[in-house]
Amino acid sequence: MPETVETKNIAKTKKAQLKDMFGILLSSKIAMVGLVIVLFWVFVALFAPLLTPYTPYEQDWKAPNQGPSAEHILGTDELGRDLWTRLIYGARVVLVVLPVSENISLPGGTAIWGVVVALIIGATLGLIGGYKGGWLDELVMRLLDAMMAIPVILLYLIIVVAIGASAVNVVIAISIVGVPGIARLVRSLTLDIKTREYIRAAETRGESAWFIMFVEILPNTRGPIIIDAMLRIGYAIFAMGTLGFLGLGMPPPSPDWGSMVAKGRAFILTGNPYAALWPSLAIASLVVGLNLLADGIREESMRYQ
Amino acid sequence: MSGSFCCRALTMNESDPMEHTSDIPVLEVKDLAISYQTRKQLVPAVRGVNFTVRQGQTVGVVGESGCGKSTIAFGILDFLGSNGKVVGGSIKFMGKEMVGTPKAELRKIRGNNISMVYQDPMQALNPSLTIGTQLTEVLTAHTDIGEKEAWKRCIAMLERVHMPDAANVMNRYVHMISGGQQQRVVIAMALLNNPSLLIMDEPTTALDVTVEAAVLDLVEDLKKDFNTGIIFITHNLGVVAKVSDRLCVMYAGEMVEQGPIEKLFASPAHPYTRGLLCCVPRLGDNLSNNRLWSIRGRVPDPADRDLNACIFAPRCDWRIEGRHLEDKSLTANCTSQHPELIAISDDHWSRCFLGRETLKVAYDDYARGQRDAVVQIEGDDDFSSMDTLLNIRNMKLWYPEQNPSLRAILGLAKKTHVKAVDDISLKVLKGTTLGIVGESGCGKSTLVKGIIGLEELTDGKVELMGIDLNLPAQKRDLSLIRELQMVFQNPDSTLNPSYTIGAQIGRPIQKFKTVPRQKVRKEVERLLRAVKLDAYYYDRYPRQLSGGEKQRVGIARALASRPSLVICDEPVSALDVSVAAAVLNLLNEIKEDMGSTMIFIAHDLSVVRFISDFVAVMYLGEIVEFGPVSAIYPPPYHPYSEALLSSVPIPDPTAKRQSIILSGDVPSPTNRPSGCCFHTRCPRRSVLPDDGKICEQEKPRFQRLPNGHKILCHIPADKLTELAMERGDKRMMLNTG
Repeated sequence: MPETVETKNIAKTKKAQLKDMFGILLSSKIAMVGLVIVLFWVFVALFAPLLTPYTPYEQDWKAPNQGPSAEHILGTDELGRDLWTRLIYGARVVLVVLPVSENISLPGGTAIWGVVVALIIGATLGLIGGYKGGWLDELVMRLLDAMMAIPVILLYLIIVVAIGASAVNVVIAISIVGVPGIARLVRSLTLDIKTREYIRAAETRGESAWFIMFVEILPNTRGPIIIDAMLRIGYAIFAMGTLGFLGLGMPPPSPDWGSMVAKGRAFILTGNPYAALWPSLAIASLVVGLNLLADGIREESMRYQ
Repeated sequence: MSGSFCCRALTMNESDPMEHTSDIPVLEVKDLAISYQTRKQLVPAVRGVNFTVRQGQTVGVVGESGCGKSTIAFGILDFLGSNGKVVGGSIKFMGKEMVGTPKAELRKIRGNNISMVYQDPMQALNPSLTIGTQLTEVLTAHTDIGEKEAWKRCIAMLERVHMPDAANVMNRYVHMISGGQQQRVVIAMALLNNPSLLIMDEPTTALDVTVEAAVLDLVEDLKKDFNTGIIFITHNLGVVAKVSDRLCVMYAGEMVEQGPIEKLFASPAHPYTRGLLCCVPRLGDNLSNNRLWSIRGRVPDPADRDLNACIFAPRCDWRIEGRHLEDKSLTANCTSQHPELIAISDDHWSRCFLGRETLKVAYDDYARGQRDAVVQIEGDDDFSSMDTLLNIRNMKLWYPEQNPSLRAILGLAKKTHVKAVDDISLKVLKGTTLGIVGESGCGKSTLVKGIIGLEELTDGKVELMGIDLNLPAQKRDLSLIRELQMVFQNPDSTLNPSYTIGAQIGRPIQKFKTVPRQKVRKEVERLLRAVKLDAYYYDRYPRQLSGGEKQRVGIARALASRPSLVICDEPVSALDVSVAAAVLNLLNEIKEDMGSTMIFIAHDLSVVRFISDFVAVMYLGEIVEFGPVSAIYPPPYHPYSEALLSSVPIPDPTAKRQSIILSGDVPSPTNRPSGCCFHTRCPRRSVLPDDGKICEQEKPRFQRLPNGHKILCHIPADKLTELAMERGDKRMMLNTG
């Protein structure tokens, strides 16, 4: 008998937890709008091959620079490639697949990989700086400050020019640029958490510094980190757009939103704005969607505490 | 500037003084109900509150946390925030109905005549303005009193709240005066424009006992001088007994009992009030009692209170066990009907179906158990017959002070140190509990940090069973670490919110390999049972637990490595009385069952007395008195211990004691007074020849008295006893078992 009561209790609490999390999402209209936009892009990126009869490289010489039509719902670019197809394959690179080389690609898009790598490095540096303190903290933080002093775009340019333009290098650039911000955030959270008594308890138990940093402190920073990561994915998409626009993103002919805008830009004034319009809208909507989602969750989780 | 305004808007100007008519009560609250809007529903926070405040009267409001005490105060002030509102009843201020009056008008009425004093003076005062600026602003902002006149009036007011050196304090900033003085400034500010009603929300909770005693005396004086009506909100029954005329007991948002303070303490009618009164360990209790009464269960959350039943029914012993009732049918309605306030006598009401029935049983001696054997000490000074577990010899723990001047950076200035612990020698005997008492900043926590290895010792030696401990915890041998474990103060931060209870108790078991890996869960469950928690807590997260439960888990975690010494750093000071009682009982049981040795740190002398075998009183990093409990609590006392003891508020309104008010502040530990470290504040110095010159010049030595009692004072012990007896503190002589 007591067994069943026990399991019931646990089941109830786990269910309640999920319900609570979903409740936060549902009760915030802003978060819901953001979620719908983000889910739309994830969906089209996942099922891109099923959502279009073309491939992103297929050129239709007879129909370059066309507006939306029944055959090409969003129109075509200057080489007659289907814009819808390029758009959703572009989303794939951003959100779903990371092409490492011609034969290998990893699940998870370029933007996501960039942020994850930045998170791992940034969180480690922040934890070490915050928990250990002293000269180590000074050293790490001053170095990161120096990095932050360089304008972001310039930093991207320097990195990509130095290591060359490819999907993997874009990931590297995004992570390097993201590290200082994440490290600062994690450091400030660590400074607060390390004064808690459970950290004292771990210290009196003789736990190693690594155990305390990664097992005791890190899990408690997850709330702010998740929200920050969402915003950061937005920035990363933006950065990829910028790099692509400057010709430093994915090498052509891969469907890259930034380079699509750059190519289409030339034809805006000649009466065909679509090639530049759609990818711009795509970037904007995805970034705004992620921002709304992050803001909504943050606001809603802070209210009624 | 504007930041400081909003909190003071309440106390502004005298331009529109209300008519003071003596027969109209200052405040009349009838059937007040307040609810908060949450994401899911409208949650009732307070209901059925009735009370009246007359001029010159203090109405105490007591109850545990979460019972709606502060909500009442905010309701009166219309400070409920965006999601709270008054949903029923009436609040009449000077005969004028406040509920339903438009906000702007309300602000005008209340702003001129109601003042509030909050718990934390640091938050009520603006750190970037001088105290003078903040005080005069209250007068000059809305009246045509000139700057000079206002300044004079403020000094006069500061003098009335017994602020030493008032004229100079006006030019200081908030951080330059002590916590007790800050609270005086806040009270002075609240009184500046002669309010008809003063609401004090836990005004002494953040203060040390000696300071608290002084502030309470002040409140008592002011009531007489200003003829103000006061609402005094607190959780401390001792404090409320000292200052109140009438008492309202709140439970789960309802007023459960109300009456004149003497009647309520002499014959409490509601089972909750009785429970509360029994929970508190008292200085006058017989030492052989080692069970405190504790109320079962916990205060229900506002969202799951049953509004159609007695709100206390799930925790009420009278209903559940009915042990004292002759006619058990009286409790039939408890779970099906909501009780109304029933008159016990003409001005004493209780919200209980039993009514006067409960009065048939004397409340103060029920359910307190007997203590088994106290450690017996017989005439042996060094206790050499007993095993010493922990031996601290001449321990010093100094922190280097940061000096930002150029000279210091160049290494020219003399290095200064904060001497948090200075030359302490102590022995903890196997199987006993050592209580360490002292006010905040006396170095008791630092002492513990030194023992446990969180801070490196500056000098001296700590030995555990003969093994030197002078290494930081992370470098100590695992077998040594497991012998020393700690229970922490704050239930909200003692557990890691990311892990289940089971994982957190299991971690030390795994780390120290107390039991084989596959038996860890069994061991955790055994520990959970030992701290009276059910096995299903294994999979819970800390946020699903109440404060008392978290503290129990903290204790279980400390016991998991089967340590020989458990150090408890104020484990109950953040808990409500009924919960604290249960935790104290638990600690006492563990002590008896497992024979653990403990160091128990507290600022509350009555708690220390209840749990300890030996007591050390600390002041400014030194031990000033040490001895077995039976010798510490009766005279002779060290003058500091005497002041501490006399300041403890006793939950008995008839015990009118004169507490010894210590003058001045605790000196800075960087710049310790010469000679006896207590001489700057010592009230007993004058009995020595030459007005105690020796105290300034010469460091006193411990006077060794029978039973291993030691006092660090120049005044001979016999004289100290005489002085204590003169003061008439006979209560201490009684009941010391």
